[in-house]
Amino acid sequence: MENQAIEETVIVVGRDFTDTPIGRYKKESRYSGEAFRDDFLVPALQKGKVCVDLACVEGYGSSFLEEVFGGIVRIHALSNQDLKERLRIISSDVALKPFADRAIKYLNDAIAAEDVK
Amino acid sequence: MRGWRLHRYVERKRHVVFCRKLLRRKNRAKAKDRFRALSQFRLGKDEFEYAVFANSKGFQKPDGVAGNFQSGDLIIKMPQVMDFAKNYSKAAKIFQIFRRALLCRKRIAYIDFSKMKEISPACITVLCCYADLWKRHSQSHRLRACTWTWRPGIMKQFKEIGFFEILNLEVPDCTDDGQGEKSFMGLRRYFVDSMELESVGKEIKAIRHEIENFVGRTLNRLVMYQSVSEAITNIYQHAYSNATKSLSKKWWLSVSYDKNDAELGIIVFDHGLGIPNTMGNSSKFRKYRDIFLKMKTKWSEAKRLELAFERKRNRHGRLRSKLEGRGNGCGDIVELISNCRHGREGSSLFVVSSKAQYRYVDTDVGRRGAASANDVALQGTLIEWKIKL
Repeated sequence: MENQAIEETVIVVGRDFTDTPIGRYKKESRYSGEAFRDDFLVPALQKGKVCVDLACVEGYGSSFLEEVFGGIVRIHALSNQDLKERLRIISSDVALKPFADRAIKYLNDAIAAEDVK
Repeated sequence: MRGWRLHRYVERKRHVVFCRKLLRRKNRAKAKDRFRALSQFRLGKDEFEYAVFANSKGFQKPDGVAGNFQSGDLIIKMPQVMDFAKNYSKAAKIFQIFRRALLCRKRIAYIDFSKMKEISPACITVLCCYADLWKRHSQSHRLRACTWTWRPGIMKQFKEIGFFEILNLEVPDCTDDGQGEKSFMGLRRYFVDSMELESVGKEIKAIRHEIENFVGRTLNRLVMYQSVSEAITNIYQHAYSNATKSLSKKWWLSVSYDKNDAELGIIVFDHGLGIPNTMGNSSKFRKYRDIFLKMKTKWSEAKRLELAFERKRNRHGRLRSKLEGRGNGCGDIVELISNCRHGREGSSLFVVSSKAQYRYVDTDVGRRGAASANDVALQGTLIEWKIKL
């Protein structure tokens, strides 16, 4: 149990990335979903388990959340099974809990869509 | 070719392409009318209520207005009440005449505000955008505001929103205390080319703080950011997608507060293609278009707008969009009203885009949204959130 806690990287979006995430693609914004996914999430996931904490932000648009969590399935950086085992999405801020639920939904939807293919 | 000239060139080109299409369909009469409208500015039969030419019969120069009106100069007459909710056609017709006159290089000599008694925040925002275009168009003309003909309440609203600054006019003194009137936090103008989307997030945060100081209440920051940021992201992604690079692409944001009714209004407006026009031809909605055509139902702009704002999923949990994960944006715009009650019920969302409008209302009976077709088009997209505090 202790080993698992040590291995897990925690990324707090508002602290480690930006408090105002906006946009879907890198070409649109430095603080886009694609930028967060490619520069923070994928490298961390390749090293081990990751816990994404959605706290400390002004809010999220669905384009950002979908590109991060739906996009990570579509770009095939990891297998769906590995993703399920390694990625954990939480919100330490209770107010942001609905966004965490939505992010999980985007992830599951993308996995379901891949399975259908 | 740059700026306004280029804009006019692109618009004319669009008209010419449309005329060629009409000719291909052997609709010569319609094509002829369109060409005539393009080469010469004329007022339609139903438009004389809103505008006249300076040389027309019965036209009298207003008292105290200096300068000579040339024959054929256009005079736009503002109606008593200008409100999209109360009389959409009237307000939209004025903006349409404005736009046509600017595109045809018609000289607008005078805008008559003397009859105006009431103007809604949405209309005043759109009017300021057109005033901005007018200023660019009439750079050689000296503009003057005949504010002595205006009602004090109206003048106060125009002053607060920054209408006089837009036209580089002297800001008049306003003695009206504004009781019972709407007050404005001001109009912000942004350029898509010079303001990156990444800065928009910080701007929305700053605006929220300003609104909270302005109304003296705390807002739900999460839902406000979600809705406003998605509305603006849509402008960056779609509104000016077919515009030439050097063409000036702008969007405006204004905030109003009705003290009597404790109603906060947030308005975002752009001069882009409009939501139905950007989604109608894309691959995302082709499936739906085909279904509608098979059912022999008209694939109207209103239908497209309604589809954009409804969150519906297919059996695989995917949104309507054929591109995976797309099509959520407009759903987010509704969230500020649908997912959050800041105070009393009665909050609403009003969207006008091209020839369609969508209204979402939160009432004591329930929450529902519906789209309808408009007889007069409004160039671009107007999004207005009315929040009862």
